[in-house]
Formats: sequence, C-alpha cells, structure tokens
Amino acid sequence: MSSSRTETALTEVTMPQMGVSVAEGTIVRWHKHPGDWVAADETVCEISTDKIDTELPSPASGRLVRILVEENQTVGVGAVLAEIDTGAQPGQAHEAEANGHEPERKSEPDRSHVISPVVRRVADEHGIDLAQVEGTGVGGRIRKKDVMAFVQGADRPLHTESPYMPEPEPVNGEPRTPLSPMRKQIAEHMTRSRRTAAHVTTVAEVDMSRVVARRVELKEQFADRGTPLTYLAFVARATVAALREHPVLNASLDGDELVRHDAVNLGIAVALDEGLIVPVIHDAHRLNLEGLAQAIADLSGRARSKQLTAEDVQGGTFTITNPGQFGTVLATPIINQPQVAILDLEAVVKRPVVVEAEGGDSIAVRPMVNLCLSFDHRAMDGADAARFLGAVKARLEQWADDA
Amino acid sequence: MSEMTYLEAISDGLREEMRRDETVFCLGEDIGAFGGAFKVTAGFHAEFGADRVLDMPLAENIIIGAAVGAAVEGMRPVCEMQFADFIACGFDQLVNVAAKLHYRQGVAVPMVVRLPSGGGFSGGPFHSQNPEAWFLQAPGLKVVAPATAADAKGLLVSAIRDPNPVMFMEHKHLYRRERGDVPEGEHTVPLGEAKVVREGQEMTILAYGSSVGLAQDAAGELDEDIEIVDLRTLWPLDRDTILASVRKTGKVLVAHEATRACGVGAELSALIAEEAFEDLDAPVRRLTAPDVPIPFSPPLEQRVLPGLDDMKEAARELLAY
Repeated sequence: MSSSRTETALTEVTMPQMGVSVAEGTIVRWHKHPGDWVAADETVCEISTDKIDTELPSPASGRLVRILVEENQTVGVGAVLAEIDTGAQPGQAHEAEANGHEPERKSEPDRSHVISPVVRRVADEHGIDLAQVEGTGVGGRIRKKDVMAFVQGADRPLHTESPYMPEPEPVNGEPRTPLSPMRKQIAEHMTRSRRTAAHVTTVAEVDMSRVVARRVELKEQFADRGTPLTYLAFVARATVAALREHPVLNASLDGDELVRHDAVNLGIAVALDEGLIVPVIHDAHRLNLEGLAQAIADLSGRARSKQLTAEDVQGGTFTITNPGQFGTVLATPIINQPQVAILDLEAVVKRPVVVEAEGGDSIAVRPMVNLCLSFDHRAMDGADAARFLGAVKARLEQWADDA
Repeated sequence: MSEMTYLEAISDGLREEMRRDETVFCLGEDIGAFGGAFKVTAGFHAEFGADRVLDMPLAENIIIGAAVGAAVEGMRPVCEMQFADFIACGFDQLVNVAAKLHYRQGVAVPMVVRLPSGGGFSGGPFHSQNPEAWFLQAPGLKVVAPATAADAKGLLVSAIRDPNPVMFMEHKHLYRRERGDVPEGEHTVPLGEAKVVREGQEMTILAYGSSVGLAQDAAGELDEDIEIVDLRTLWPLDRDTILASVRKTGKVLVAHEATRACGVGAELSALIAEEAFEDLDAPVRRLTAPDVPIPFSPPLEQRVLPGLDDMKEAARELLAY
C-alpha cells in the first residue's frame, strides 16, 4: 500500500471567540461530514454560545477528515472541532479510501453497511429492506437479533381495526426533551439576574394619542423607504432621550461600582421560536425616529434569519422588551444583567380616560399603554426610576419628532 | 453414583474394563509397582499382576509397536504415555502402522493410547503440549478429550471397546481439580457425540478438555445467553450437534488450549464456513494458545495459556459484534 500522495496538510477548525465574556460554545448541527469537500468560508457547522447562535465558516478549502466534537457537545473557546485536509483536491478520493482502508477514528468504525450472511438470508426470506433495520452491533452493524426483531415487529398487525382511540399514554410516559443550549443559557441568565438584582417594577400609564396620530402620518412615507414604523420605535426614541437625561439608568453594576455609559446601546428583545434573543442598537442616541425604526427592523429581521453577528448582541446598556405586540397589558420583566433597568412596552389599547380641561373634566377614549420599568434597587432608588419613567411618558404624550 | 476426581474416574474405568475383559491390559513407563507418574494405575499391579500391567522401557516406539501387535492378535492394550509429548517417539508405529492397518489389510487394531496432556504447572515445552491436532492428520485414528470425570470414565470404556486405535487426551490440569458424580460399574459415553452443556441463544462456544470449564465459568460470570458445546470426541466430529448450535446462534467461539495453526479450531472454523455460512452472524473466532512452545517461566506460561479473562473478553467481543 505504498502511496505517491503528498503528505496530508491538516487545518483545524476551532471554537471561535464570540465575545470577550464568552468562554464556551455548543455544536448545534454539523453541515459537513467526514469525507465532504469544504470550500473556504463555507459553513461547516452551527454553534450556539450564551451570546449568539451562528454558523461557523470553514477556515480553509479541503476535505473534512474528522469531526472531534459531536452535536450537542459543549467545548471551550479554541477547542478543535474538526480537521480539514487542505492537501486534498476536490473530487479526489480521501487518502484512506484510496488505500482501501477505513479512516482512523477515535470511535468504532461505521459498520452499518456490513451485512452478515445470516442477516442477508433472513432479510431475503422475509423481503426486508435492511435500510429500515436499526443495527445494535459494533459500529451500528445489523445483527441477527436486530433483523429477527424487525421481522417479528413487521408481523404484528397494525392498530387499524379498532373504532376506539388508543388509551392515552400514562403521565410518566409523556415526552421529555432536553433543554436546548439556548434555553439553558436563558434559564441560567434569568435566574442569575433574579438572584442578584433587587428587582422593583414601576408602571406608568401613557396616553399615546399624539404618537398614534404621528404614526399614521409617517407610516406610509417610511414604508416607501422600506422602513416599518412601530410604536416600539417611538418608545425607543423617547427612552434614549430620557436615558441621556437620567444616566443612572444607562449603567451597569460591576461589583460595588456603578459604571455609567456614555453611549446608549439599546437592546431590543426579540422573541424567536427557539427562545429570546436581544440584539443591540449601538449608539442609539445618534439615531432619530427613522434611524431607530430602521435599526429595529434590521436587527429583528436578522435575528429571525439567524444572521446576527457576535457584535450585534454585545455591549447593551439598556433593554426594551415588547410583549405588548401579543396584547398583554402588564409585566414585571427581569433585568438583562449587568444592566440596571429594563423597560417593558405593553399593548396600546383604547380606554376611557378622564381628560382635564378648563371647561371641566370629561371622559374621552384614548389609546393608552402601560410602560413597566423594572429597576435594580441596588443601583438606584424608586425616585430615580420614577423620574426617568415620567420623562419617557412626557415625551410620548407630547411627541415632537426632533425632541 | 459416587463423587470422584477426573483422575480417579480414569482409573475406575480402566479397572472396570480390566476386571470385565481379560484381553484388556496396560503398558507404559513406571505404571507397575510405582503406579504411574500420575498414579492412574496405582494398585493395578497388585490386583492384576505384572502380566497385565507391563512396565516398559523408555522407548515409546516399543510401547506403541507392542500394543499394535497385541491388538492385531486380539488383545485390547491400553498404552500410557508418561506425558503426551512423548508420543512423538512412537509416531511411526502409531500413524504408519496402527492408523493404516485396517485400511491396508482389513485388520482391527483395538488399542488405546492415554496421553496426559496440557500445561499450567510450569512443565515447560516437553511436558505441557496438547498434541491432539497431530492425530487428526492421521486417518484411522480416533481422538477423544473428556472435560469431566464422568465423561473421562465413559469415554475411556468406549475407547477400550472400540475396534480402532483411539487417542485418549487426558488433561493433567483436570486430574485432581475436576471432580463430579461418576456412575459406578459399567458406564460408557459413545464416541463421536458432543454434548450441549449450557443452552443459549446469543453465541456458541465450542470447547473440549480444560477449555470447557473455562467457558462455563466465563459464561456464568458474564451472565449472558451463551451456549456451550463440549465436543468430547475430536475425531470423528459430531457435525450434527456442532452445526445445530451454530445455526441457532450464528456466532461461534472455538476454544482450546492447544496452539492455533491447523488446530482443532481451524478444522471447526472450516467446517462451519463450509456447512453453515448462511447462518453466520459474525466471523468464527478462536481462543487458543499462540503458536509458540509452552514456556517454563510461570508468568510466561500464564500469558501463553488462554485464561478466564481471555475467554470472557473473546465472548464479550463476539456478543457485541
């Protein structure tokens, strides 16, 4: 088995550093498998960290020789995930294949294709497609007992004659699925925040009449420029402006120190099927209403298509969450650590409200919204939070585009 | 029934046959007043006299040759090799005369050669061999290898009564360690019949001699669904019992203490490949001594002889396959 091939040149695929605080990542899914040709920058696998889910591009072109970290395994930053033979040519057989030998692997070689004489005979006698039979032998080999069990299972009549529903599964037989890496990270992050921060939630009712009117006026022209205009954008603009006036809320707690941030990096919580993610509008204080609306549309769109970069989810200084889109009217949100407050935007609903006027009070129908602010009582007192929330309320009720 | 050792059972069978049939006699080195190197014939000299318990010179070709002549004349000699290894010195008389007389001249040669075989006692390369495979290459010889006390007696009696030369492999390690109930008086075990000593579905261990107990211990410790066939007779093989077990389980481990190349395991592997290929679910595996002489050094000898851990490991691998 002499070989005239040049020596194998291996390039390692490693777990990338997805942000300064990220120490480890989880393989969600392998897109490439041993023996596959991989082009440089082509996605080799999906990874999940506590900041972000992303696709990992290949560092080089070549043939994927082996995978060292299985799906759902978590490894540290820098760990070798796979090896790519950059000496291989596209279309050329893998060296081990060319030599007629199984490639060297850490685990048992795949023997699912090895069919023993007796398995072949039993399959022929019963007309069984062996691709349907699960092998329990070494390397996934189909054993005699596997094909015999399959034969017995196939002979069992299907449950079609009975007019009755089958008995429900007992409670302890209910399906159980392990938490996804993302759910586990959210669980850890939320319980840690709940455990460390002194959460207080304060609520302001806001009359959104002016915002509603202004949205009607602007909606079409924004749409023409490709930007959907939501109430969230108005609230974001009012929040950013109020944070500039009340910097104690645009801050982080670092041990016994409060770190005030110059820039407002506004996190926007986006609900995905897999779980919550919070992309960040960096330097939100530099954006006007349209800029914020654009940024919100861009980030939420990319969050849903899993196109966020690591940077997109880093560096938030304050977070807005928006469950009101689903019609709820009150919540006590959990602070996104290490931030010190989070603003919750509930549904805008028409309600009868008392309107004070010179001629006397009257009852009017107004579009109202509840803004719920959870703040960390370690970092500030109720008065600070209430003043900030009042400022947001005032800006929304007396909406002025340039304010 | 009475409980006796493997060695006592051999003595018992030989004594029973000598009492029953006056044509049966023993010949060998130091088997008379001394009772033999392993004391199989202890007391025989006193009971049967020097005419039926012959002390022979250190010349195995004379022992075998004398036995062949006596057998042709209608006697039923039972030769004792002091160690099985020494049969090499009597080989011409055995394979060229005893084995071929019936084929050439239609003459019966009802003789038995007892061969104390096997290692495990630091006997070294000249006193520890398991030479049974040598005899499978000499058509005309039968070969038996009992694993239990009862079979040792029953097979010896049948071997003495058989009209052909029979090689009786008696394992020295079993002499005083193996014991069990043995029928008193007349007891025969037919030649050419293997015995399923443990029923199972997942794999078959084909074994004989000292490897049978090893296989039973391994199967018991592993607590797996293992079938064990004690071959008892190595030639002619009990093809029906062997192949029935192979067809049932589809996985076979052949175990013997003898060396590997062209051994009984090789013959069994070939038989199974020829007759039961479509029933195989795994390659036939062999657990044997490697193809080396048996060393004197106790640790080296332990390494060479297949042990309980080797048997368990081989069975585990085959079960998992």
